[in-house]
Amino acid sequence: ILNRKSGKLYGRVIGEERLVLIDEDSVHATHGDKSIGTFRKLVEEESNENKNKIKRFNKCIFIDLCCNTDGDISCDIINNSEKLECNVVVFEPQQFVDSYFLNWNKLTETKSENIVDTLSRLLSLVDLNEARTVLLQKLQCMVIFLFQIIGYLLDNRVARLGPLKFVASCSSLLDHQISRRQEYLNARGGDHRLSRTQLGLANVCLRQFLDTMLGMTVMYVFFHNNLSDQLAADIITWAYAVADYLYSLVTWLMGAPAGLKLNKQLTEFLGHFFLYHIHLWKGYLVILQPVLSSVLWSASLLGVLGLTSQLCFLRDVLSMMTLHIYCFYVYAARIYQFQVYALSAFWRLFRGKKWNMLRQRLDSVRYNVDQLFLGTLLFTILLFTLPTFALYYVVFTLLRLIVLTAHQAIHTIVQTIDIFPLFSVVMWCLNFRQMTGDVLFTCVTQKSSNLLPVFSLQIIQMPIRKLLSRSENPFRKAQEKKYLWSSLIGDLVWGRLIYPWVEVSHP
Amino acid sequence: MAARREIKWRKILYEHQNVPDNYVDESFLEEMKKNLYIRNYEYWSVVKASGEITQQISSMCLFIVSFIYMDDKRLLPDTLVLITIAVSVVGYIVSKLVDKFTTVDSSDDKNQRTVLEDLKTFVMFTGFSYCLSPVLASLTETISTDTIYAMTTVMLLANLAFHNYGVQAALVSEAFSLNAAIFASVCLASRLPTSWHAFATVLFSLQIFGLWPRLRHKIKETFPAVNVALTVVLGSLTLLALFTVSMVPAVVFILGHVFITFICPAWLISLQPLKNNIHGPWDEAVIKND
Repeated sequence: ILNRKSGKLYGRVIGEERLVLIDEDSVHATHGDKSIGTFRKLVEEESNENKNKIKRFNKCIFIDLCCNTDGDISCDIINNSEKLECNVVVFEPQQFVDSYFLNWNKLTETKSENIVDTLSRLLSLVDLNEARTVLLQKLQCMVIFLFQIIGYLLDNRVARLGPLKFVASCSSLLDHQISRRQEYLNARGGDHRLSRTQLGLANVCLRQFLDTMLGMTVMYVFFHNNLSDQLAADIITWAYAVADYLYSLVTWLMGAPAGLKLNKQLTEFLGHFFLYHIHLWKGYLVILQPVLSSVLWSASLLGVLGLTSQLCFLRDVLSMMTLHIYCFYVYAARIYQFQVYALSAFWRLFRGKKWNMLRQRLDSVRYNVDQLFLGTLLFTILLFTLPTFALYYVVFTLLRLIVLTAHQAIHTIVQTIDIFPLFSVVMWCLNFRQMTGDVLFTCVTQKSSNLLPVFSLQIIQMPIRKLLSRSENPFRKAQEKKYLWSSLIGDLVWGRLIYPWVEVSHP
Repeated sequence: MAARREIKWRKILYEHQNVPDNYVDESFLEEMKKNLYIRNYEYWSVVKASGEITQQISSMCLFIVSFIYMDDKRLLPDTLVLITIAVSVVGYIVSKLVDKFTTVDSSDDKNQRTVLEDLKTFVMFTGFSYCLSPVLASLTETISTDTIYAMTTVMLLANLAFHNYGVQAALVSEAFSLNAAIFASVCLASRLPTSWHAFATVLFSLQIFGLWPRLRHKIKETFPAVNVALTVVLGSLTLLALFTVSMVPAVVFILGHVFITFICPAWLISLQPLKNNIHGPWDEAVIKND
């Protein structure tokens, strides 16, 4: 505006925000009575026309903007015949338009005093011509188009229903893929004019690209070095080693482990049961041995889908190889849970009390002699066999927890890759104009001292933390279930089964 | 001032009486009553009533003696089982006779258990004990004997402490005392060589801790005079049994008995004059169902 010639300013007033918008100016008074201000180049020009207008439009706001050749700017606002003080802020609108974050809060209703929020709210009222740089615009159109096509091809509405859902929840790979497809589906259906959607799209796109690149690198390494055979042999050796270790562990438990005195018959019985199970497992390994190499080779083809898919497949392989540990854990946990539950019930009977389900409290009750007798007998038996079962339970739970830790480590890596907003961070590092979100006011010195100060508004980069929080993936459902440590310990003590804490919250 | 003093002070607060709120005149503590509900004990009746405790102690000692005999292989489990069953049958007949004696009319026939029900219970007891006795026999193999003995002692003491001696006290819990006794018997049974021993022990303990107190209770209610005779007979039987085991427990038993039977009542009665219970209008209201 500052570079135009002098003329009239036309616009409209938005009452509740106390905002006056100036649409255009023109030298010719084509709009006649609707002008709300004038723009003058020099101080001396002052026409009588203005004074008349002032008298006529008493109820309106009249803006008088004046720019000197020296670069001084002065501005008067007259509201209902009284002059208001105003500060002039100079800015470049293109910066606003380019930034992804400033017109973020289109839909927020909060009236915060934060200058950034106020600005973005004001901007949302303005229909700025979204003239982004041409390159990004084209890129966006292409990406959206690509998504539309792929989305039509890979619609996974089938996988969300019925028996496939159960199968999918068992395997981490399928789960991951389905959530990815879901994400792309959401991306396809989102509102593409929102800058948040656009940013999300850009992040998702870049992430997929990086994923696939890394996956194909791994694939290439696999093929080139013939790693699949070697890896298969290693895995089989490791599996046999684990089976032997378990065998020695169970035989150790059958004796007097760590000096603890276990019930001899019971220990032997349990030990033989688990030993037979290990024997079965070794048979399974024998069957698996020739197949594993080709399975690994075809799995590395998953690199097309990305490194995350390969990691998920690795997780699935780990699950399969430690299936016997999982089985042992489940047996021991179920027995232990039953034992603890029965023991607590019989202890209540021992004291002559009963648990009132309705009132959720302990009541005293008169038992018959036969009930008391039988209850005490069973209580004694359960009490004296508790150390044996508890020891087996503790040992197998520890093994299971180790396996679960490995699971969780891989899952965390996958999750990090999924969530990380790569596009935003890269653009931020390269100081692109799109990643700005904070405002900076600087004072421009005026040549003549009797004028009010003029501020210049510049948009600068936002801090990285805010960037990360703002560029969250809008297409992904937030995983709400938090696993508490206290509930984990409670489950361990009472013998309830622990599931890997990433798969429980599957919708 | 004198005129005001003539007005008698009343125990109210809704009128000004020119005295502080916590003032009471000479009628202070008029309504207090001391030792309203004292029972006056008579020496010999208390002595007779103490037979309850001594009977329970005697039964317990009999049980322990039987275990010691079986451990020493002096007593065969078959003998013990036969004795148990015989005494059970005799006791059952006695209880039925006592029932017939007390209830002249057949108004609460429904509450009486039939012979068939009792037989069913008996079969169930025996069956379960027999089935679980192999498990019981090897239950505590790896636990040291001293631990077992300590646990048994604690459990039997608990049985004595929580037993229902006919007094309404907060400590009484019949279920707990019975359970403690059975727990103790299982602990002891696991020390014995074969499962047949374990079965005999468990059966005997059930009879002596579960059924015998009930019978005693029933007899005491109908024939109070028999109680004393019962105490004496039981005590002497136990004394004889302990004597055959060794001298020390017999002496301790006699001393304990004398203490509980003769000295404790005297002590109780001598402490009665020292009672100082205060009752008054500040007591909690007791709702009477008149």
